Amino acid sequence: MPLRGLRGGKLKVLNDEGLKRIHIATLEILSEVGVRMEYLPALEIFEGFGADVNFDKKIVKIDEQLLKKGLSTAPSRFTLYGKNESFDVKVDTERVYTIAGSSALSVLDLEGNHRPALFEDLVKFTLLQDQLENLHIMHGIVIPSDFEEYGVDRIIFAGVFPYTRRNYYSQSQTGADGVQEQIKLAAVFQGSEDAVRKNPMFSEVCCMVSPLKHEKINSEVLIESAKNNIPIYIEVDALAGGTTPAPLAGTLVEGNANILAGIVLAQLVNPGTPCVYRTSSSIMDMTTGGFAGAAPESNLIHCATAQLAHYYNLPYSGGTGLDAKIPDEQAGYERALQLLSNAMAGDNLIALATGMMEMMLTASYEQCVIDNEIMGAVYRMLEEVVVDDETLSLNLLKEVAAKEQGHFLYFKETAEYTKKNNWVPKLTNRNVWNSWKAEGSKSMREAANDAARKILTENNEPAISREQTDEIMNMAKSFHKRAIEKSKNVQ
Amino acid sequence: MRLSCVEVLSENEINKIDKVSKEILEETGVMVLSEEVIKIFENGGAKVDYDKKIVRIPEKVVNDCIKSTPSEFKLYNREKDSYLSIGKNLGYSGTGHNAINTLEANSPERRLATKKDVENFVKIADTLPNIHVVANGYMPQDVFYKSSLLHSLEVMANNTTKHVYFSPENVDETKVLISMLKVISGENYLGNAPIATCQLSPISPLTWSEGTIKAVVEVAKSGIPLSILPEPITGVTAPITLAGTLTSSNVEELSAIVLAQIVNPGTPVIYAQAWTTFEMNKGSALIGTPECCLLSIAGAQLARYYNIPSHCIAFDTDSDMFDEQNGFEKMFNTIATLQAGTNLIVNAGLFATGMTSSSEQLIVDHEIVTFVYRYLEGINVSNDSIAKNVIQEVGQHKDYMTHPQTLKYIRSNEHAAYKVSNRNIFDAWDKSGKMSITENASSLAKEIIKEYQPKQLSREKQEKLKEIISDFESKFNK
Repeated sequence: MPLRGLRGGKLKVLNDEGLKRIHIATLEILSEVGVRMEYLPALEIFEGFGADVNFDKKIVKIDEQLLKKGLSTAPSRFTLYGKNESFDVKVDTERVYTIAGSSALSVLDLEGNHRPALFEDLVKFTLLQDQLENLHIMHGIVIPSDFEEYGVDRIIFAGVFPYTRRNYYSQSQTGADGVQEQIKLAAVFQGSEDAVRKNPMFSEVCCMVSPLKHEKINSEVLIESAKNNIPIYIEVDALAGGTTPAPLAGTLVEGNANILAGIVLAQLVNPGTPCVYRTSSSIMDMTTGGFAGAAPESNLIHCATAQLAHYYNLPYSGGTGLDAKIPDEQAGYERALQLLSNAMAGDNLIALATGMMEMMLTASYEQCVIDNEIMGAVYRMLEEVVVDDETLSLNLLKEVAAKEQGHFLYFKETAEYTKKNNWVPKLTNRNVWNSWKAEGSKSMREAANDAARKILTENNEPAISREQTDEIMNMAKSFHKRAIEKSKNVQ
Repeated sequence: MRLSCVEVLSENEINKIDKVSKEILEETGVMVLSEEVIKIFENGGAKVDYDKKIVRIPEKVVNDCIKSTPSEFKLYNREKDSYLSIGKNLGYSGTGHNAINTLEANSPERRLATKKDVENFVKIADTLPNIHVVANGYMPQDVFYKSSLLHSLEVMANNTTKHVYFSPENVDETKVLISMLKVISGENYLGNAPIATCQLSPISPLTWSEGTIKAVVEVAKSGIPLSILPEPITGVTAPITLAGTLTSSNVEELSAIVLAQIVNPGTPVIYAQAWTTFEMNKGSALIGTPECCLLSIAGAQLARYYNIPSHCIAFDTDSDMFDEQNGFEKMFNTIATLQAGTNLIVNAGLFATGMTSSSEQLIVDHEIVTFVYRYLEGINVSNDSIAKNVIQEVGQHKDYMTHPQTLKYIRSNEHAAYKVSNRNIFDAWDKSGKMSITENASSLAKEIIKEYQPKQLSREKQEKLKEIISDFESKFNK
C-alpha cells in the first residue's frame, strides 16, 4: 500500500507578522470574549483549572496560561490505526494524507441518475474508495436515506468500518452514547473495548459552531472521546460573511479561537489525547447565500489555517468538496486548485478529498476515481526537483551532445529514472486524436465510469470476516433502535 | 469568589483630592526646566511663565488629557506573540531595577553589581511564571557609568522574551534606548506593538528636570507606554500627612499625563507610584512601612478614578538582610498593592530600600507573589468543587488520597505550586541540612543560571545593539 504522505508546507499565504497578529487577536478573543459552551461538565472542567467561567451565560474565558497548558500536552504526531500495519497513518505536522468524502445526502450513480443515497451506496462507495491508492482515511461518504436519521451514525459505522482496511473517520450524532456504542462496534473486530482504546481504528469529529459556540452534543462527544483515547478532529465550519466576518483574517481568528478552545478542553480531560486541528470553512456565495467550498477564497482560508495549526505544532486537516454538480470542467479545475493548494500548504489530512459535489450534498462514484487521479498528480508536485551528480546527468549530456543526432531514449538511465520518478496516470489520456478516437473517444468521465465499475466488480468482499460484518450490522441496528426510542422518551 | 478590592478612600475623599490637585495645577503649577517643553505646554493650552519656568494648567486641559489617555492597552513580549492586557486584568508583577549592589546568600559583604549579575538576574526572571515584566535588577557598575542602562537593555533583550521596562535619567539616553528598541522589535514605530515600557520621574515637589521632561516628550512620540512615577518622601519632598503627599504626587502625575497627551493624543500612560515615608530620628527614607501600603492603595484608587492603568512599587523592604522583617514587610505591601487592584507591581528582587538586589530575593519574591495570587482568587464554590457526590461516595472513616477528584484537582490551581518554601516536617528538614528558604532559593538560582538557555536575539540584532552602544560611548571618548 503506497501511503505516500509526502511533505507539504512550502506554500505560505500568511507572513510571520500576519500569523502573530492572528495569534494575538485569538488570545484577546479567548481571554476577553470567551467561548459559549452549552454542556455543563465542560464549564466545570474549565473552572477546575482556574478559567474564568460564567455559568449563567455559559461563557468560558481562556487566558494565555491555560491555553499554553492545554497545547503543551497536545501531541504533534500520532498514529491513526488501520486494520493492519500497512494502513497505519503516521500523522505529523508535515506529511500530507487524504480523507474520503463525507455525509452527502444524494448520489450521482454510475447510470447517471441523481437520487437519494441508500445504505447499499454507502457500502459500494466504501469498497470503491478502499481501492484508491491516494486515499488514506475512510469516511462515511453518504447518509443512507433508507434508515431513520436519528442515531444513524451507528448504521453508517456498520456500512463503512467492515468494508475498509483504512482508519475510519467516524462521527457520533447523538453524544457520548454514540461514542460508547461505536467503541463496542469496533470491539467486534478488535477483540475488546480495551483493545479499541489502546489502538483505536476509528476517530471522532466535533464540529464547533461559529461564532464561538460549542453545542452540548459536540462537547459530550469531545469529552467522551478524550476519556477513551479516541483521536478527535476538532472542526469549525465557518461561513465567512455569514457566521464569521467576511474578511478572511477575521474568519481565521474566529476559527482559531473556537478550535483551540476545543483542543484545550480535550487536553484538560485527558492530557495527550490526539487532536487534529480541522476546518471545513468557506466563504458565503453572495448570490446564493450558500457555502462555496471550492472558491479560491475558501482555498486561501484553508492554506492559512494550515499555517495557524502548525504555529501551534498541531496536525492540520482542511479541505472541502466541490461546487460542481457533475464530473465536468468545473469539477476538474475546482479539485485541482483545491488539492494542489492544500497539499502545498501542508494540509496533513485533506478531508473530503474524494467524490464530493454540489457543496457536499452529492457523492459521485466517477468523481471518486477522478479525484484519486488528480491527487496522484498533486503528490508528484510535492516532490522536490532533486539536484545531484546523478540527476544533473552531465556525462550523459556531454556524450549525447557530441553525437550528430543524439537522444536519451535508449539509455538505461532514462528508463530507470522515469520508472522510479514519473507519475503514471490511469485515466488521463495523452494519446493523439486518431488513437484516442480509435479507442472510443472517451471523456475523462467515461473512463472514470469504466474504472469504477471494474473496481466494484473485482472487489465486493468486506475487509473483515462475513460473520463479524454481520454481527456489527446487527448490533448497529439494535443500537440505532435504542437511540430512537431514547430520543422519543426524552421528547 | 474572588476577593474584593480593598479601598482606603471614600468617593468623597477622592473627589476632594482630585479637586485640590487640579486647583494646585491651575494656580501654583509645576516647574519645567526646559524652554522647549514649556512651549509645548503653552501650545497645548497651559498658562506659562518663561522667566520663572512655571507651567499652570487649566482644569479643562487636564480633563481633556485624562480623557484621551487610554484606559487599557497591550504590553507585548519581545517576540510580539504574547501580551499583557494592562488596565483590564488584575495585577501583573515585574522585577526590580537599578540597584547598584548585590548580596549573595551566605556572603558576608555586599558588592557592586556587574553586567554578568544583570544577565543572571534576567535569566532567572525569564523562567519564573508569575514574573510578567522584566527590568535589569541592577545598574551594572563595571561598564561606563553613562551607558550603564544601555548595557542593561542589551542584556535584557538577549536573556528574556518578556516585556521589559527601564527608567532612564535623561533625554539623550532615552533616544538611544528607543533606537535600540527599534532594532530589537524590528519595527520603526514602536507603538504598533510596544515591547517595552519607559518609566520617568519628576523631582518632588512639583519640578521636572530638563532631561526628564524632554524624555517624556520623546517617549510619547515613540508610541511606547510611559509610566509616570513620582517619588515623594513624606515630610521632606511632600507634606508629612498622607493626604497631602497623595495630592502633591497626583499633581506631578497629572502634569506629565497632560504633556504626553498634548504631544501624542492617545499615548498609553501608566499612573505609577513609589511612596516613601521618612524616619526623622535616623534620617532615612523608608518604603516598607504600613503608611506606604495605605498610600499605594489610595494611589490605585486615584488611577481607577481617572480610568488609567496603575503601577506601583511593591516587594518593598527596608531590611538590609534576609530576615523576618524582609519577609513580613514584603508580604504586607505585596498583598496591599495587589488587593488594591494595582495593574502592575514591580521591584521583585530588591531589598535594603531598593539599593541592593539578589537572585535569591527574586526567587523568594516570586514565591510571595504566587501565594498572594492564589489568596486573591478566593474559594471556588461550584457543584464540582463542593463535591457532594465525592463526599457521599467516600463516606465515613476512609480517605480521599486516591479519589479521581483529588488527582484531578492536584493538576489544577486549587492549591498553589511552591518552589522554595520549607514544607518539610521537622525531622526531614533536620536531616536534609536545615535549609532556609534563602538557601533553597540560592540552589535554585545556581541551577537556573547553569542550565537555562533563554531564547536569544538574532546575531545580527545583537551586533547592531553593540554598535549603537559603542557609538554612544565614543562621544565621551570612551
